[in-house]
Order: sequence, then C-alpha cells, then structure tokens
Amino acid sequence: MLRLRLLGALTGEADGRPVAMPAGERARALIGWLAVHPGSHPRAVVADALWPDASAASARANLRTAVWAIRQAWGPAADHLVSSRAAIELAATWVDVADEDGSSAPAGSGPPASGGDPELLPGIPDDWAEQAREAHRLRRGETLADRVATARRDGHATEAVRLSRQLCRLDPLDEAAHRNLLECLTEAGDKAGAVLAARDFAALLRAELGVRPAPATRAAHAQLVTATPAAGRPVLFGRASQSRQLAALWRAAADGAGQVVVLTGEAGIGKTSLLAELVHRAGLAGGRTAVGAGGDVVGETPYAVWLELARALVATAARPPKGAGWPVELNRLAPQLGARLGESGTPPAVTAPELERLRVFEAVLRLVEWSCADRPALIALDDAHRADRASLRLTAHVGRRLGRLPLLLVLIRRDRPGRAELDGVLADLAGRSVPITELTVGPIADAEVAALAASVLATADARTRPTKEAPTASTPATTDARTRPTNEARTASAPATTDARTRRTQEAGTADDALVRQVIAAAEGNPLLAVESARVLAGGGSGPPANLRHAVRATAGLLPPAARTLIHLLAAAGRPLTSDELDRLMVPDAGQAEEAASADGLLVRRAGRLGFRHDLLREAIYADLPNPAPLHDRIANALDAGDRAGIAHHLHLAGRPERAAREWAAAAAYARSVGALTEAAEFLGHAVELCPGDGRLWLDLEDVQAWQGRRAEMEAAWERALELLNGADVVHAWCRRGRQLRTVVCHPEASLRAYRAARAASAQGPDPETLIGLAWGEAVVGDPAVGYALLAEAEALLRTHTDASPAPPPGAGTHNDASPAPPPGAGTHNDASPAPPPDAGTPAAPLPPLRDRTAGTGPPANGAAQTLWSGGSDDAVAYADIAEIRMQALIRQGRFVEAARIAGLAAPGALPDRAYAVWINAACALTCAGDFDGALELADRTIAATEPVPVLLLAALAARAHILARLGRHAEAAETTRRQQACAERLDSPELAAIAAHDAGLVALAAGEHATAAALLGEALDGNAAGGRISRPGAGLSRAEALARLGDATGAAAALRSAMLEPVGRADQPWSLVPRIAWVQGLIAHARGDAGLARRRFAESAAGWRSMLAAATSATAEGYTATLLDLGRPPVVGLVEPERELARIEEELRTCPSSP
Amino acid sequence: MPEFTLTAHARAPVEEVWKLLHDPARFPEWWSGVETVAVGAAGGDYTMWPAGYPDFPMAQRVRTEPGDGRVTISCLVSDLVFRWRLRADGEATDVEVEVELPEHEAHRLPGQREALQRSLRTLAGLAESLSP
Repeated sequence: MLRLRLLGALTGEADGRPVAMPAGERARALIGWLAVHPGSHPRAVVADALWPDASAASARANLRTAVWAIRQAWGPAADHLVSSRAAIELAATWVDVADEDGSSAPAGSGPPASGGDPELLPGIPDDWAEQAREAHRLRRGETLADRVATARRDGHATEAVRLSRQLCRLDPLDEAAHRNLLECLTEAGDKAGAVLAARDFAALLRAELGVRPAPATRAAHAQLVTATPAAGRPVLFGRASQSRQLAALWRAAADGAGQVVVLTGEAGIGKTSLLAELVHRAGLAGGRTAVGAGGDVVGETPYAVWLELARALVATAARPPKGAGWPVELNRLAPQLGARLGESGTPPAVTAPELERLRVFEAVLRLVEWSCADRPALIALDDAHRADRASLRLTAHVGRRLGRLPLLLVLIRRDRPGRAELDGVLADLAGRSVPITELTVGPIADAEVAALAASVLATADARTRPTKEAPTASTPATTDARTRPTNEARTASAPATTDARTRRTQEAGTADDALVRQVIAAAEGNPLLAVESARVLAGGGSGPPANLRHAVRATAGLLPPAARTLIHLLAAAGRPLTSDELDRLMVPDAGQAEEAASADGLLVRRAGRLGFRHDLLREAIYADLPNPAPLHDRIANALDAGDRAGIAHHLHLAGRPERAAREWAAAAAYARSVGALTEAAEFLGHAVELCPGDGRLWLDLEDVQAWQGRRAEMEAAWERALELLNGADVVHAWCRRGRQLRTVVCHPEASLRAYRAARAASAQGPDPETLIGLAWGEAVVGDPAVGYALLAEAEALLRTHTDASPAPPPGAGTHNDASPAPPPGAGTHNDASPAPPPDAGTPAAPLPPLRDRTAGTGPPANGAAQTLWSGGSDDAVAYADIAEIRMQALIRQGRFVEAARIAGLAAPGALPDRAYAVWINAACALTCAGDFDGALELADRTIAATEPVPVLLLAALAARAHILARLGRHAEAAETTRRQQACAERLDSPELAAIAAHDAGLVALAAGEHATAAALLGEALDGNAAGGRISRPGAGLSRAEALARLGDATGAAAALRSAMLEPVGRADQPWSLVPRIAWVQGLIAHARGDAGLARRRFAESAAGWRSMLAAATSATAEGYTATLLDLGRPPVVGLVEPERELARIEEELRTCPSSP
Repeated sequence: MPEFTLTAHARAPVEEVWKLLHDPARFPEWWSGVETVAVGAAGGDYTMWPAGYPDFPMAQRVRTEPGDGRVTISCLVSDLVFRWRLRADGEATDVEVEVELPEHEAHRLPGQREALQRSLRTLAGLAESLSP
C-alpha cells in the first residue's frame, strides 16, 4: 500500500519506508492530480490538465518525462504508478485528503493531518488544484461543524473551542463560524477569550473588507461586553440543590417519562435564573429547548406565549416529510411558522371558530410531538401567571399528552396573586394523572446574599477598568456559598488572573464587608433586591434603597441620555423587543445605549430580544415616567405588524382612539381566525368603547357574540349596528345576519326573515348571496320549489358577474342536462311567500356543514387594518353552496338519489368544508335510498377530502362506520369507529369524544357486541350531559336495548326510564321513539322470562312501524332535515328505517316462544 | 289570555304515558272530543276530526321542545294550545297539562276544562291498563 499525504508537504511511504518525491514541480503536480482523481485516466486527459497551454504532442511528451521522473524517485514503490500507452493511474494508494477522519486509514498510517489546517497541495497553482482545495475546505468545514456540535452537545467545551477555532481558520471571515466560536468560548468559561476573539474579528473585518460585523454578530459582541449571560450559561447563588433536582427531572423526562414541573416563588426570587440554568443543561445534553414568557394579560394576542415557543421549536426542528398536513396549519398562528418547516401555503379555511381552535391545538401538538421525535425537549412558560388565556388552554392540551413524550414542561409562576386559569390547567393535568412536581423557590440564605452582593461590588470595581468586562452578579456561577469566601467576586469571565482578582478583593475586603451586611439586611433573601441594593451601594449610595423603585431610579439616573431613552421606551413597550422593532424605534446610539443599560444590569437580551432583566425593574421605570404617551406612540409604530393587540393597546395609551379601534378590530379578526372568541369579544369591546358610532364594529361584535352563543349580547349589538349603518351597509348587515342565523345559531326561520329584509333593503335588487341565503331557508323550512327558483336566479346573477370566468361546476348549473329537474311548481320566486312561523329557539350550535364566509384569514401580514367586515362573495363558495342547497331541497322531498347525483357533478374541489358538506350529504342520501355500496364510496371520498381537517374527518369516519355496519361488515366498522375515537381524543373536546363514543356504541350494538355497546353509550350520555349533539333519548333507548340483550332487565328498565325523561326535540324524531320503546319493553320482558308480555310488546312495536311504512320516505326526509339542523350532521348515524325495524321485530316474533 | 292547568296521577310507568302522548293515532282512545285522527308525514302534523263533526277536519301539530321537556299540541285552526309535561313518580306518573285559549275562544274554557279532566282520567286509566 502506498500512502500519500497531500495536505501540507507532499510525502509518501510504502510498506513503512519513506518514498522520495520527485524534485520537479510538474512531476509533483502529476502525483497530486492522480491522487485527487482516483481511477484510470486517458493520458491525453491527464496531459491536458497538467499542461493546458502546450500543444497536445508537447503535453504528452511532458507527461512522459514526468512519469519517468516519478519512477526514478519512487524506486520500488513506482509499481503503484500504473501506466500504459493509453492510460495512467495510481493503484493501491491511500490518500489523506480522501479520508478526512482517518476512518479508512490503513494500519500504521497514523492520524490524518491535524494540528492545524495544512493546505492541500501547496505550491501547485493549477486551476484543478484550486478547485480541489476549495472542495476540501468545504468538506473540512462541514466535518468540523459537525464535530463542534457533537462536542458541545456532549459537554466537551474545550474540545468544542479547539475545533471551533479550526473552523474559523478555514474561513477567517465567516461570521457564523465566529459567533459559534464565541459561544464555545463562553460555554467553556473563557469569556475573556471570547471578548478578545470578538475584538480581533471586528478588526479583521475592518482591515480586510472595511465593514462592520453584521447585526447578529454585533449583538453577540454586545452580549459579551454588557454582562449579559451567555445563552444557557446561567450561574446561580444558593440554588445548587434545586438545580440538581431540576436536572434530575429533566433526565427522567428525557428518558421518555414526560412530566411537568412548576416553579413557584415571589417576584425577583430567582425563578427565571433557575430556568435559564436548566435550559442550558438541557441544551448541553442534546435537548431541544424553547422558552416563552407571559406578558401583559390585558390585550395580549391570543397564543402569544405559544407563538414564541413555536418559533423556537421550528427554528431547530427538522423538516417534516412532504405531505404532512400540520405544518401548513401552523400558518394559522403565524405564516412564518409553517414556512420554516417548508410549508408556506395558506391553510384551508373551516370558518367556525371552535373548529379553528381545534385545528390550532392539533397543529401545535403535532409540532411538539415532532420536536420530540429526534431528541428530548424542554418547553418552558416563564411568567405563566401572566400568560394569555388561549396559551394556557393550549398548554393544558399539550400537557395532557406529554406522558408519552420525552418532554419536560416547565411552568414558572409567582406565588401571588393567584391566576385561576393557571390553577385550572394544573388541576386538569393532575386529574389526568400527568406527573407534576411543584418546587417552591424561597429566599436564599444570608451567606448566599453576601456572596451575591460581594460579586456585584467586585463587578462594579471591575467596570472601572478600561475594558468593560461582564459583571455577572445577576447570574453568578452555581455554587454554594460555603465553597468560597463570601466576598469573592464571582465573575465567570473576569479577565484578570485569579491572583490579581484575589489581591484586589482582599484590599477592598473590609469596606465591602460593611456594604455586604447592609445588603443582607435590605434584601431579606431576595436575590433581585440584593443585586439592586448592592448596585446602589456600589455606586456610592449612603445606604440601601428604601425599595426596589428607589434602587432602580438610582441606577437609571446615572445612565447616559440615550440609554435612558432606551429604557424608557422598553418600559413603555411592556415586553422585550426584537431587533427589528428596536431598529424602528431609531434610538440614537442604540448600541452604546444598550451596552450601558445592560452593563448596569437593567437590560438583558434573551432569545434575540432586548428587555428588562426583570419585569419589576420595568415596572419601576415605567412608574417614574412623567408622560408616557409619546413613548407609546413610538412603540405603536415600531411593533411587529402582527401584534395587532399590542399596537392597539399602545395607540390607546397614546391617545389615538380611532386608530386604536381599528387595530383592536384587526386584533379581533386574528383572534377569531384562531378560535379565540373570548379575546375577539374583548378586543371588539375595546373598539366599540373607543368608537361607539362605528356600526361596522358593532356588527363585528355581534358576529363574535353569536359564535359565543350569547344571544342577548348578540341582539344588543345587532340593534346598535342597525341604528348606525345605512345604505349598502344595511343590506350587507342583514345578509350577514341571515348567514349567522343560517350557520352559527341555526335558526332557519329567522334566517329567512333576515334575508328577506336584506332583499327589501336593496335598491338594486338582491345579490347572489342574498338569493342563496333565501334559497336555503326555503329549502329547509319553506317551499323547496321556491328555493329552486331562487337558486336559478342566483346562478344567473353569478354568471352575469363573472362573464369572463370559467363556467360554474355542472352540479351548480340549472341548465345542465345532467342536473335533476326542478320540482314541480318551481318558478319565479314570489315576493308574497307566506310569512314564516314565529321564532322557535334552536340553541344547538351545529357541526358542519358550515358556510360562514367572514372568517379572518390569519394574522394580517401588512400594516393595513383588517376587520371582520367582509364584502363580496367567492364564486367557488357560492357554487358549492348552491349545490348543497339544491341537494337539501331534494332530500327534503325524499328524492335521495337525485340529491346524491348532484354531488357527483358539483366537484367541490379543494375547499374541505364544502367538500365535506357535499360528499357527506350525498353519502347519507344514498344510505336513505338503500344504496349502501354507493354510500360507502362517497363516505370514503368524504374521508379523503377531510383528512387534513380532523374535526370534519370525525363525522366522515362516523358515516363510513355506520354504512359498513349496515352492510354487515362489523369488524371494519368497529375499526373505523376506533379511529374516530382516537381522532376525537386528540382534539381534546369532551363533546366530540362523547359523540364518538355514541357512534361507536351504535356500531357495537349493530354487531351484537352488547356489553361494549352499553358501556360506550353510557359514556356518551355521561359525556354529553348538556345534550344538543346526539339524540339523548335515542342513545338511552339503544343502551337499554343493549342491557336487555345482556339479560340485565333491571338495568335496561332503568335506562329506559331515564330515556323517557330526556328532553325530546325534532331531531329525536319522536314518532320513531314510540315503537322503539315498545321494542325495548319487549326485550326487557323477554329478559325477565315473560314471553307473553314480550310478544305483546313486539306486536305493539311492529304495528307502530307498520303504520309508518306508507310515509316512510317522507318520514326519513323530515328526520334528515331535522337532524341536520339540530344535531349538525346528516343522520347516517342512527338512520331510522321503518321497514328494516319491522323485519327485525317480525324475526324476533318468529323466534320468541309463545306464552304457555 | 285565558288559560288553566290540570294535573293527574297515573298508576302507570312514565313510558306507557309517554307512548300515548306522543302518538296522535292513539288520541281518540283517550282525548275527549277527538273522534278520528289521520297521521300524515312524520313531522308532527296530523288532522283531527272532532267528535260529532265528521266534516270539519282540524289541522293539529305536535311539537316537542328540548328545552323544557314539554309536549306542545296546538290546533292550527282554533289556536288552542295544550302543553303536556310528565314526571316519573316511581312506577307511577304525574301528568300536567296547561291549556291556553285565544281571547276570542274564551267562552270555550269551561267546556275545555271539563273535556281535559275527562281526558286525563282516561289517559291515566288507559296507561294503567297497558302496563303489566
């Protein structure tokens, strides 16, 4: 084996003996070329590469000469140079550059070139050599970067520094590599080295390129010289025990025992520092970490904390496989979240806020699970007592599932005042047996306060030296006071030698001890107070300040003007600001201002954001501001455009009510789009308070109140809106109300009246949306024929409006030959149609189909105000609506097959909710018609269309399961209901879980699994105590039937009695309950052994069903519409089939013994 | 608006009374003054012919309200409204009916009261006879 080294000097050895290299430069170049181009090459190619400027003949002659020279130099080893007239190569040769890590080095070859970064083939100026050097440099960089990451992850800080320095030498101007080196040095405790490296790098950039480092690098430099603790390098006083306890909890969680830890303590006691230490350790151990902090709970953007957490998670998470639906759903929260994972699209709208909320929850949960897939994770909510409500709800959702994940969820909270929502989250998690460890963070011992104070005093001393060094009083090293002198300065990055520092502190010892005693007395074990008191004393104060506010005032008073401006702005901002936001504030000399305020311990950068080291400091500064309004004005103009609630809040405080109202409305639109209705109502409440004369705001408020089911508030807002609106706005308002009553409130008669009012108010005649709304009302509670005529009118208008657009889908067009014929009597809509009956309350908020089109479309991406107000209509949606309404009109007339045919023609396309509505109704219509195979195909199509939207998928699965059960394919049906239940469980909605249990119970009953059926139906009834989404009397009767079949006559009788006392609505189809009661009574009698009574009851039931046969179709049709309106889904589940029921009873009668 | 309320106690379980109350086809068996019933579609509407008036069909509607658990039977011709409510009392049932008459039918109140009293007794007796 010939071993060649190309890095550094060209050397070789064969069989343990050195091989001499030829003296000629071209001969050496030839060896290099062949070494970096393994394999056999035509002589002409090699000659051309080495002598590109020579003629072919001359180049070939030069090649022969070089080969001869090599053979002469190599001696016996020349056998490795294999050449013929046509080709040439190096055989059986190991080359260092091809084996960077030495993994394939032959025995005895030694390690690859190290101890620096020797150049490849130095002295060879050829282009191919340059290219080889560049490729080698890139490979080397990648390898080194991987090794640095590994070393950091494994906690080998010194090795990480060594490798990182090598990486920097490869490309001295690489800023990312330089920042990495700074992090490694800081982690290794060599802060002085980091400062020097930063200085050298800035000088190098100036010298080489004449530029300053990039902002990210400047921020890293500022962090070094302003005493800000390096990320994840916290150092604590007096917290060693708790720190160890947290580390143990982390290890347990990382091993797969996901759990929650709650840190509770008073303000300033050191909770955040403990968290920072834990985050640092978790990061070093290879964990993925994300920290979010609660802010001002008044006017907080919904999910603000989880937005922060999600941003941190997606920043390091791997890209999910293509086709994963959840990343795009994250864009509902903020567009950049999904984009970071490779999905920048817009998630499909569902429009019902509760469904939007469930989708947000699911997407974030998937993100958390994905983040834990390749490594354990630590997710922390700092100041959880100040977190927004939506974030707390989402925390509970995630928390319930962490037992299966390698995840530690950390919640930091103050001990008082209490936060009921947070207590509720913890109680909920505890109730679900999620492991929770509560740690109280109490005062630190006097010795620890002394050490902390001494550290601050020493740091203040250090700051008087020319090079500002990083005082780390706020986060000194984790160590117990007993292990060090109380007056020793604990500066992790102190540049002076230990001896020098010791000498200095000894000199100052006597004076410092007196100050330290004052600090101990003032702080009472609170580290924040200790630090601030020590700062005041170090600054020459005559005694410790009376309180924190005085301390902060004293510190801030010594800052230069620009730094004071900066802290005033940050105090007004109320939360840490990003670099972009800071830039927009245009604070003069911002870098120096930040440096000064950070050096005095007021400010700190965390996760790239600049804010106060502690919120108590911010509050103290803000309390002293004489006129904060102009500051709020500047903040409002600087905040990220997505933080609409924040902008509104500051505009309000700046005294700009109208702009604030617009921003509140925009914030409400976002809140509504992510299902945060409470927040949306709150924001709109602020908006109408500021601009009570804006009818559109009242209309938006009415919409949100409707979705919340607050009818009285909804009506009050509606009255105000109607008073204030005029002209075309009135038409739009009535239209929108009609839509609400059609969807949110589900009150068809009232909806019809609203649409009629819209038509009456319109000077130009009704628009397509009004006509479609009217048609729906007529289709479901009025005259289907009139509905048909209205749809034709709407279509004609749509075609007029969109002449240039493609033709409507065939199913939506009245003139398509394949469309079913309109019902007899369909003609021009008659304005004198009968007045609707009086209002009847139908409080149930239905599941899809959902048709509302006013949903926000995610957080606004630009600065323009956005409200819930939405004019115009989307033709695709309109045509899907038309198809669906036409189906409903046909279904109501019992024309099921024709209705299903419309679905085949409508092609609802990529709108999941419309596709759901059309396909599910078609499946159910075919079920009603007895075409179960066709229905199953449509149910499968519904499932395919709703896969990305679990809340819709649930109903599609239910339909499939029941059709399968009807076909006798019980095993498949049971499997499908299991999937439905799993899906409901993930959505964390008790109501959906109860529905899934109900559906599964009916499938089990059909399969003869009576015990399972009884249990599931009991679960459904218990979980659906409020009713409204399942037929409770129907479920109760089915449970009684299951119990009777099990032979439990007593239990069955009790279940029957309970069912009789349930409220009954039209969706329960009371006419069908009468024979079902007799049937269950017969089964109970049978179970009791009373054959005579059983037969009598069965006969009674049979007579009841028989009397319905003639009207079975119309009964099914009426039941269909009632179920759709009241329960919010078509009645595939629990479809009443009189003929089938009769056959079943007759079979029972045939086998039931006659009484003796 | 003229109205009155009557109650009765049936020594029959609630399910027996429930079936009679929700099945218009059986009204002639216990409701005084109802001679014949024709049940149409299953939506709750039916036609009733009063006793002695075979040529006067009266459109009726049975509605159940999930909110209050009552069964409302209204005459779409005369605007009389009957609201029924059942309460289980062990193996017996308490029955209550509220009757509302429009002003212009006020003169029929005594007759309706008497008819409903008879009906309640019959309903209770019928339910008792049907229970095992």
